Amino acid sequence: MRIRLNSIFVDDQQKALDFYTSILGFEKREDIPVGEFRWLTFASPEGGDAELSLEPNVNPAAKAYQEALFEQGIPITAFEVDDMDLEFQRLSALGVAFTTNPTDAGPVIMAVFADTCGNLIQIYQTSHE
Amino acid sequence: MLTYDRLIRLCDARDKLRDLQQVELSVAEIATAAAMSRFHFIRQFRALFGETPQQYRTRSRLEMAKHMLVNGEDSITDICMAVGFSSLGSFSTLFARRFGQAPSKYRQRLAGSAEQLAPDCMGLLRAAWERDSQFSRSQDASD
Repeated sequence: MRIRLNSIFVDDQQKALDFYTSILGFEKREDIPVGEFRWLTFASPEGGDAELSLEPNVNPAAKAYQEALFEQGIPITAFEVDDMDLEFQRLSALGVAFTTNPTDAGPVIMAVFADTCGNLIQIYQTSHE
Repeated sequence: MLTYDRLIRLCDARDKLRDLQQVELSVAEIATAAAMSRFHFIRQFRALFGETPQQYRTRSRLEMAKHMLVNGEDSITDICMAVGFSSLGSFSTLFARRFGQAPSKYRQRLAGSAEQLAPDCMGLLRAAWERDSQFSRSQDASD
């Protein structure tokens, strides 16, 4: 059994496509129209087999869950980065709204930002001894 | 950095923008309620939600209209007014632009199929597989 596909909700798939590619730098893997929605997945250009699916949050339960996490300041998922300072400066220059600036959290340095699609996302860099 | 207090105020503003009981509230009034200047409010809202307050309001209204079309029997005109549009023509144009079909055709297509309004991850994948034979063949080849 392998973890190949993860999924998060977004409030608009076109907005999500723009943010996750142009801002975060992920590569689109699948983009298949399904009525008014899309089967939309992304992967990191830095390698690995995992893909991220961005689902529409049209189910009321999904919307409620997503908004509850957002309003409590809780990230919906986390991505690893090699250089937090560089990533923070790059994303800030692109206008990304951070709710937590880079913070030493013991084994990791972490930061949190909004993905413009209803989610807070955590990025973390493993601390080196 | 966006403080938690400001995050909550922007979320409250978002709720006002999609509240059909508050359709008369202007963006400026909502900005004032959020204790921000109109300029600052629009900029911060866009940074957080990826669209301006007015864009968000319009998108929310169209989404609500979509559900009302499929789940109810009100006339398109009544739905248009209920979600805060004053012009049927503008509503129909914006609806078609967003969902790819005029409201009447959208209702015809999805009548009695409310579950299609909220596909889940596996439902999307399954539908994509069925609709895209090339996608299906590439999946078979990789197995």
